[in-house]
Amino acid sequence: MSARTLHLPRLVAGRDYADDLVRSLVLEPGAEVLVDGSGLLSGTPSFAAELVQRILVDGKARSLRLVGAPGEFTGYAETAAKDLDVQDRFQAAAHLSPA
Amino acid sequence: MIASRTARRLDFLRATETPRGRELNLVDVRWLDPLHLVGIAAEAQLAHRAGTRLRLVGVRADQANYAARMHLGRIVESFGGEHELPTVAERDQRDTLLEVRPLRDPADVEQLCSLVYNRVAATDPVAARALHVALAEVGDNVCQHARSIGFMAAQTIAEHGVLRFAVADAGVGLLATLTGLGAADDHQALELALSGRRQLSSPGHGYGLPRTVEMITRLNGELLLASGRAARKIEVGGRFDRTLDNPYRGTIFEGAVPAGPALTGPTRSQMRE
Repeated sequence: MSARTLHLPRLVAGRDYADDLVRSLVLEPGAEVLVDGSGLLSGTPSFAAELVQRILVDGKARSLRLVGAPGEFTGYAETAAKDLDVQDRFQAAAHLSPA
Repeated sequence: MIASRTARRLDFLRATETPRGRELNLVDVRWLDPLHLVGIAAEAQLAHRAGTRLRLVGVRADQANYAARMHLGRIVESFGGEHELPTVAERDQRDTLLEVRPLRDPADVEQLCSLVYNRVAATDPVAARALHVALAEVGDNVCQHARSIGFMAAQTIAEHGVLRFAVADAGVGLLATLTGLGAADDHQALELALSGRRQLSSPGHGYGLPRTVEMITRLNGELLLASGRAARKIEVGGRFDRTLDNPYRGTIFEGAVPAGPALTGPTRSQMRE
Protein backbone atom coordinates (compact mmCIF):
# COMPACT_ATOMS: atom_id res chain seq x y z
CA MET A 1 0.00 0.00 0.00
CA SER A 2 1.62 3.30 -1.02
CA ALA A 3 1.26 6.53 0.92
CA ARG A 4 1.57 9.99 -0.52
CA THR A 5 1.65 13.43 1.07
CA LEU A 6 0.74 16.65 -0.68
CA HIS A 7 1.58 19.96 1.00
CA LEU A 8 -0.71 22.73 -0.20
CA PRO A 9 0.94 26.12 -0.70
CA ARG A 10 -0.44 29.40 0.76
CA LEU A 11 -2.84 30.07 -2.10
CA VAL A 12 -4.43 27.56 -4.43
CA ALA A 13 -6.83 28.18 -7.30
CA GLY A 14 -7.96 26.60 -10.51
CA ARG A 15 -8.58 23.10 -11.75
CA ASP A 16 -5.37 23.05 -13.77
CA TYR A 17 -3.28 23.75 -10.71
CA ALA A 18 -4.98 20.91 -8.80
CA ASP A 19 -4.29 18.61 -11.76
CA ASP A 20 -0.62 19.58 -11.73
CA LEU A 21 -0.23 18.98 -8.00
CA VAL A 22 -1.95 15.59 -8.09
CA ARG A 23 0.05 14.55 -11.15
CA SER A 24 3.24 15.29 -9.21
CA LEU A 25 2.20 12.66 -6.63
CA VAL A 26 2.36 9.83 -9.20
CA LEU A 27 -0.56 8.07 -7.56
CA GLU A 28 -1.15 4.34 -7.65
CA PRO A 29 -4.62 2.85 -7.21
CA GLY A 30 -5.23 2.08 -3.55
CA ALA A 31 -2.83 4.75 -2.28
CA GLU A 32 -3.44 6.55 1.00
CA VAL A 33 -3.14 10.28 0.43
CA LEU A 34 -2.54 12.90 3.09
CA VAL A 35 -3.16 16.48 2.00
CA ASP A 36 -1.53 18.89 4.43
CA GLY A 37 -3.42 22.18 4.31
CA SER A 38 -1.78 23.74 7.36
CA GLY A 39 0.01 26.34 5.25
CA LEU A 40 -3.06 27.22 3.20
CA LEU A 41 -4.52 30.73 3.49
CA SER A 42 -7.07 30.68 0.70
CA GLY A 43 -8.26 28.03 -1.73
CA THR A 44 -11.09 27.95 -4.22
CA PRO A 45 -14.07 25.57 -4.44
CA SER A 46 -13.06 24.44 -7.93
CA PHE A 47 -9.56 23.59 -6.77
CA ALA A 48 -10.98 21.57 -3.86
CA ALA A 49 -13.41 19.71 -6.13
CA GLU A 50 -10.72 18.88 -8.66
CA LEU A 51 -8.40 17.68 -5.90
CA VAL A 52 -11.03 15.25 -4.65
CA GLN A 53 -11.95 14.15 -8.16
CA ARG A 54 -8.36 13.54 -9.25
CA ILE A 55 -7.32 11.69 -6.08
CA LEU A 56 -10.37 9.63 -5.19
CA VAL A 57 -12.27 9.24 -8.48
CA ASP A 58 -9.71 9.30 -11.28
CA GLY A 59 -6.73 8.21 -9.13
CA LYS A 60 -8.72 5.53 -7.28
CA ALA A 61 -6.90 6.26 -4.03
CA ARG A 62 -8.01 4.27 -1.03
CA SER A 63 -8.33 7.37 1.14
CA LEU A 64 -7.81 11.10 1.24
CA ARG A 65 -7.13 12.83 4.56
CA LEU A 66 -7.26 16.62 4.47
CA VAL A 67 -5.52 18.06 7.51
CA GLY A 68 -5.16 21.57 8.87
CA ALA A 69 -6.93 23.43 6.06
CA PRO A 70 -9.11 26.49 6.76
CA GLY A 71 -12.72 25.55 7.53
CA GLU A 72 -14.08 27.09 4.36
CA PHE A 73 -11.76 25.07 2.13
CA THR A 74 -12.46 21.89 4.08
CA GLY A 75 -16.17 22.52 3.52
CA TYR A 76 -15.63 22.82 -0.24
CA ALA A 77 -13.77 19.50 -0.29
CA GLU A 78 -16.41 17.77 1.84
CA THR A 79 -19.18 18.97 -0.46
CA ALA A 80 -17.32 17.74 -3.53
CA ALA A 81 -16.64 14.34 -1.91
CA LYS A 82 -20.33 13.98 -1.14
CA ASP A 83 -21.44 15.05 -4.62
CA LEU A 84 -18.92 12.67 -6.19
CA ASP A 85 -20.12 9.89 -3.92
CA VAL A 86 -16.71 9.22 -2.38
CA GLN A 87 -17.37 10.60 1.10
CA ASP A 88 -16.65 7.20 2.67
CA ARG A 89 -13.01 7.54 1.57
CA PHE A 90 -12.63 11.22 2.55
CA GLN A 91 -11.63 12.44 6.00
CA ALA A 92 -10.93 15.92 7.30
CA ALA A 93 -9.17 16.91 10.49
CA ALA A 94 -8.08 20.18 12.02
CA HIS A 95 -4.70 18.86 13.14
CA LEU A 96 -2.25 16.23 12.08
CA SER A 97 -2.53 13.22 14.37
CA PRO A 98 -1.51 9.56 14.13
CA ALA A 99 -3.79 7.69 11.72
CA MET B 1 -23.33 48.06 3.05
CA ILE B 2 -21.81 49.69 0.00
CA ALA B 3 -23.12 52.26 -2.43
CA SER B 4 -25.15 50.28 -4.95
CA ARG B 5 -24.29 50.37 -8.66
CA THR B 6 -26.74 49.43 -11.38
CA ALA B 7 -26.53 47.05 -14.32
CA ARG B 8 -27.34 50.05 -16.53
CA ARG B 9 -23.64 50.88 -16.55
CA LEU B 10 -23.29 48.11 -19.12
CA ASP B 11 -25.24 50.25 -21.59
CA PHE B 12 -22.20 52.50 -21.92
CA LEU B 13 -20.20 49.67 -23.45
CA ARG B 14 -21.87 50.10 -26.82
CA ALA B 15 -19.52 50.70 -29.74
CA THR B 16 -20.73 52.06 -33.06
CA GLU B 17 -19.18 51.52 -36.46
CA THR B 18 -17.59 54.60 -38.04
CA PRO B 19 -15.40 55.04 -41.13
CA ARG B 20 -12.37 55.32 -38.80
CA GLY B 21 -13.11 52.24 -36.75
CA ARG B 22 -15.42 51.06 -34.00
CA GLU B 23 -16.09 54.01 -31.72
CA LEU B 24 -16.84 53.74 -28.02
CA ASN B 25 -17.90 57.11 -26.63
CA LEU B 26 -17.74 57.40 -22.85
CA VAL B 27 -18.89 61.01 -22.59
CA ASP B 28 -21.84 59.99 -20.42
CA VAL B 29 -19.77 57.91 -17.98
CA ARG B 30 -19.21 60.01 -14.88
CA TRP B 31 -17.33 57.41 -12.93
CA LEU B 32 -15.17 54.69 -14.43
CA ASP B 33 -15.10 51.41 -12.57
CA PRO B 34 -13.09 48.22 -13.16
CA LEU B 35 -16.29 46.95 -14.84
CA HIS B 36 -15.87 49.56 -17.58
CA LEU B 37 -12.15 48.98 -17.90
CA VAL B 38 -12.37 45.24 -18.51
CA GLY B 39 -15.42 45.75 -20.74
CA ILE B 40 -13.54 48.27 -22.87
CA ALA B 41 -10.57 45.91 -23.08
CA ALA B 42 -12.86 43.14 -24.33
CA GLU B 43 -14.38 45.57 -26.88
CA ALA B 44 -10.87 46.40 -28.12
CA GLN B 45 -10.19 42.71 -28.60
CA LEU B 46 -13.54 42.19 -30.37
CA ALA B 47 -12.80 45.05 -32.76
CA HIS B 48 -9.37 43.64 -33.51
CA ARG B 49 -10.84 40.20 -34.12
CA ALA B 50 -13.38 41.75 -36.53
CA GLY B 51 -10.56 43.29 -38.55
CA THR B 52 -11.18 46.85 -37.38
CA ARG B 53 -10.02 48.86 -34.36
CA LEU B 54 -11.50 50.44 -31.29
CA ARG B 55 -11.54 54.22 -30.98
CA LEU B 56 -12.02 55.17 -27.36
CA VAL B 57 -13.31 58.74 -27.11
CA GLY B 58 -15.08 61.04 -24.67
CA VAL B 59 -13.40 59.92 -21.45
CA ARG B 60 -14.02 62.75 -18.98
CA ALA B 61 -10.95 64.65 -17.84
CA ASP B 62 -11.52 63.73 -14.21
CA GLN B 63 -11.53 60.00 -15.09
CA ALA B 64 -8.83 59.96 -17.77
CA ASN B 65 -5.86 59.89 -15.39
CA TYR B 66 -7.38 57.00 -13.52
CA ALA B 67 -8.00 55.07 -16.75
CA ALA B 68 -4.43 55.72 -17.85
CA ARG B 69 -3.04 54.65 -14.47
CA MET B 70 -5.01 51.42 -14.83
CA HIS B 71 -3.23 50.78 -18.17
CA LEU B 72 -6.39 51.02 -20.24
CA GLY B 73 -4.60 52.92 -23.00
CA ARG B 74 -1.89 50.31 -23.14
CA ILE B 75 -4.47 47.52 -23.55
CA VAL B 76 -6.41 49.39 -26.24
CA GLU B 77 -3.17 50.02 -28.14
CA SER B 78 -2.20 46.36 -27.87
CA PHE B 79 -5.24 45.55 -30.02
CA GLY B 80 -4.42 48.28 -32.54
CA GLY B 81 -6.93 50.73 -31.08
CA GLU B 82 -6.81 54.49 -30.48
CA HIS B 83 -7.50 56.54 -27.37
CA GLU B 84 -7.08 60.04 -25.95
CA LEU B 85 -5.83 59.05 -22.52
CA PRO B 86 -2.88 60.95 -21.08
CA THR B 87 0.51 59.59 -20.24
CA VAL B 88 0.76 59.37 -16.46
CA ALA B 89 3.45 58.71 -13.92
CA GLU B 90 3.59 55.04 -13.03
CA ARG B 91 5.01 55.59 -9.59
CA ASP B 92 1.78 56.38 -7.75
CA GLN B 93 -0.37 53.26 -7.66
CA ARG B 94 -1.80 53.73 -4.19
CA ASP B 95 -5.42 53.03 -5.12
CA THR B 96 -4.63 50.33 -7.65
CA LEU B 97 -4.90 46.70 -6.68
CA LEU B 98 -4.58 45.38 -10.18
CA GLU B 99 -4.33 47.30 -13.45
CA VAL B 100 -6.21 45.88 -16.43
CA ARG B 101 -4.38 42.67 -17.23
CA PRO B 102 -5.02 39.99 -19.84
CA LEU B 103 -5.87 36.45 -18.75
CA ARG B 104 -4.34 34.13 -21.28
CA ASP B 105 -4.17 30.90 -19.32
CA PRO B 106 -4.72 29.45 -15.82
CA ALA B 107 -1.22 30.48 -14.78
CA ASP B 108 -2.15 34.15 -15.41
CA VAL B 109 -5.25 33.74 -13.25
CA GLU B 110 -3.28 32.14 -10.47
CA GLN B 111 -0.58 34.78 -10.55
CA LEU B 112 -2.94 37.76 -10.64
CA CYS B 113 -5.20 36.40 -7.90
CA SER B 114 -2.19 35.83 -5.67
CA LEU B 115 -1.00 39.36 -6.38
CA VAL B 116 -4.33 40.85 -5.35
CA TYR B 117 -4.54 38.63 -2.27
CA ASN B 118 -1.10 39.69 -1.11
CA ARG B 119 -1.89 43.37 -1.58
CA VAL B 120 -5.08 43.19 0.49
CA ALA B 121 -4.35 40.52 3.10
CA ALA B 122 -2.17 42.64 5.38
CA THR B 123 -5.00 45.08 6.07
CA ASP B 124 -8.11 42.98 5.47
CA PRO B 125 -7.62 39.19 5.32
CA VAL B 126 -11.35 38.49 5.03
CA ALA B 127 -11.75 40.73 1.98
CA ALA B 128 -8.53 39.28 0.60
CA ARG B 129 -9.94 35.75 0.71
CA ALA B 130 -13.18 36.87 -0.93
CA LEU B 131 -11.25 38.55 -3.73
CA HIS B 132 -8.96 35.60 -4.20
CA VAL B 133 -11.81 33.11 -4.48
CA ALA B 134 -14.02 35.33 -6.66
CA LEU B 135 -11.31 36.41 -9.11
CA ALA B 136 -9.85 32.92 -9.33
CA GLU B 137 -13.19 31.24 -9.95
CA VAL B 138 -14.40 33.71 -12.55
CA GLY B 139 -10.97 33.82 -14.18
CA ASP B 140 -10.84 30.03 -14.24
CA ASN B 141 -14.24 30.00 -15.99
CA VAL B 142 -12.80 32.26 -18.69
CA CYS B 143 -9.90 29.88 -19.27
CA GLN B 144 -12.06 26.74 -19.18
CA HIS B 145 -15.04 27.89 -21.24
CA ALA B 146 -14.76 31.25 -23.02
CA ARG B 147 -12.53 30.12 -25.89
CA SER B 148 -10.98 33.59 -25.72
CA ILE B 149 -8.61 35.47 -23.49
CA GLY B 150 -10.14 37.58 -20.73
CA PHE B 151 -9.27 40.67 -18.71
CA MET B 152 -9.11 41.35 -14.99
CA ALA B 153 -8.90 44.56 -12.95
CA ALA B 154 -9.31 45.51 -9.29
CA GLN B 155 -9.10 48.68 -7.29
CA THR B 156 -9.99 50.32 -4.03
CA ILE B 157 -12.33 53.30 -4.18
CA ALA B 158 -11.85 55.53 -1.16
CA GLU B 159 -14.80 57.76 -2.09
CA HIS B 160 -17.17 54.81 -1.75
CA GLY B 161 -15.34 52.76 0.89
CA VAL B 162 -15.35 49.82 -1.45
CA LEU B 163 -13.09 47.38 -3.17
CA ARG B 164 -14.23 46.64 -6.73
CA PHE B 165 -12.99 43.96 -9.09
CA ALA B 166 -14.07 42.79 -12.50
CA VAL B 167 -13.41 40.14 -15.12
CA ALA B 168 -14.60 40.18 -18.74
CA ASP B 169 -14.08 38.19 -21.88
CA ALA B 170 -15.24 38.48 -25.46
CA GLY B 171 -15.76 34.74 -25.69
CA VAL B 172 -18.68 32.48 -26.51
CA GLY B 173 -20.80 33.46 -23.49
CA LEU B 174 -22.61 31.44 -20.85
CA LEU B 175 -25.37 30.17 -23.12
CA ALA B 176 -22.95 28.45 -25.51
CA THR B 177 -21.27 26.80 -22.53
CA LEU B 178 -24.43 25.70 -20.76
CA THR B 179 -26.79 24.78 -23.60
CA GLY B 180 -25.76 21.15 -23.21
CA LEU B 181 -26.81 21.31 -19.57
CA GLY B 182 -30.31 22.54 -20.31
CA ALA B 183 -30.05 26.31 -20.74
CA ALA B 184 -32.37 27.50 -23.51
CA ASP B 185 -31.64 31.25 -23.34
CA ASP B 186 -29.27 33.76 -21.75
CA HIS B 187 -31.37 34.16 -18.61
CA GLN B 188 -31.52 30.41 -18.04
CA ALA B 189 -27.77 30.14 -18.60
CA LEU B 190 -27.16 32.85 -16.00
CA GLU B 191 -29.46 31.12 -13.54
CA LEU B 192 -27.76 27.79 -14.14
CA ALA B 193 -24.29 29.27 -13.62
CA LEU B 194 -25.18 31.10 -10.41
CA SER B 195 -27.64 28.76 -8.73
CA GLY B 196 -25.46 25.72 -8.24
CA ARG B 197 -28.02 23.49 -9.97
CA ARG B 198 -25.27 22.49 -12.38
CA GLN B 199 -23.77 20.36 -9.60
CA LEU B 200 -26.75 18.03 -9.92
CA SER B 201 -26.10 17.24 -13.58
CA SER B 202 -22.29 17.25 -13.46
CA PRO B 203 -21.06 16.37 -9.96
CA GLY B 204 -17.76 17.95 -9.03
CA HIS B 205 -18.37 20.98 -11.26
CA GLY B 206 -20.23 24.26 -11.02
CA TYR B 207 -19.22 25.25 -7.49
CA GLY B 208 -17.24 28.38 -8.28
CA LEU B 209 -19.85 31.02 -9.02
CA PRO B 210 -22.42 29.93 -6.41
CA ARG B 211 -19.76 29.94 -3.67
CA THR B 212 -18.52 33.31 -4.90
CA VAL B 213 -22.04 34.69 -4.55
CA GLU B 214 -22.30 33.33 -1.00
CA MET B 215 -18.94 34.75 -0.02
CA ILE B 216 -19.56 38.23 -1.40
CA THR B 217 -23.08 38.59 -0.02
CA ARG B 218 -21.88 37.37 3.37
CA LEU B 219 -19.54 40.37 3.39
CA ASN B 220 -22.46 42.70 2.54
CA GLY B 221 -21.06 43.12 -0.95
CA GLU B 222 -22.69 42.94 -4.34
CA LEU B 223 -22.00 41.35 -7.69
CA LEU B 224 -23.09 41.69 -11.27
CA LEU B 225 -22.91 39.05 -13.97
CA ALA B 226 -23.98 39.56 -17.57
CA SER B 227 -23.80 37.49 -20.71
CA GLY B 228 -25.73 37.89 -23.94
CA ARG B 229 -29.00 39.67 -23.18
CA ALA B 230 -29.14 38.66 -19.52
CA ALA B 231 -27.76 40.57 -16.55
CA ARG B 232 -28.20 39.82 -12.88
CA LYS B 233 -27.22 41.91 -9.92
CA ILE B 234 -27.08 40.26 -6.50
CA GLU B 235 -26.83 42.15 -3.23
CA VAL B 236 -27.92 41.72 0.35
CA GLY B 237 -31.41 43.02 -0.49
CA GLY B 238 -32.02 40.45 -3.19
CA ARG B 239 -31.38 39.79 -6.82
CA PHE B 240 -32.35 41.88 -9.81
CA ASP B 241 -32.58 40.56 -13.36
CA ARG B 242 -32.49 42.72 -16.42
CA THR B 243 -32.67 42.13 -20.15
CA LEU B 244 -30.00 44.13 -21.92
CA ASP B 245 -30.99 46.12 -25.03
CA ASN B 246 -27.44 45.76 -26.25
CA PRO B 247 -26.31 42.13 -25.77
CA TYR B 248 -22.95 41.66 -24.11
CA ARG B 249 -20.65 39.61 -26.36
CA GLY B 250 -19.03 37.17 -23.96
CA THR B 251 -19.31 37.36 -20.19
CA ILE B 252 -18.66 40.19 -17.76
CA PHE B 253 -18.50 40.00 -13.97
CA GLU B 254 -18.09 42.59 -11.26
CA GLY B 255 -17.83 42.12 -7.53
CA ALA B 256 -17.61 44.65 -4.72
CA VAL B 257 -16.99 44.32 -1.00
CA PRO B 258 -16.76 46.96 1.72
CA ALA B 259 -13.24 48.12 2.50
CA GLY B 260 -12.01 50.04 5.52
CA PRO B 261 -10.00 53.30 5.41
CA ALA B 262 -6.73 51.46 5.98
CA LEU B 263 -7.24 49.70 2.69
CA THR B 264 -8.78 52.35 0.49
CA GLY B 265 -6.07 55.01 0.72
CA PRO B 266 -6.49 58.35 -1.07
CA THR B 267 -9.57 59.44 -3.01
CA ARG B 268 -9.42 59.69 -6.79
CA SER B 269 -9.46 63.51 -6.60
CA GLN B 270 -6.58 63.46 -4.13
CA MET B 271 -4.69 61.31 -6.60
CA ARG B 272 -4.92 64.08 -9.21
CA GLU B 273 -3.40 66.68 -6.91
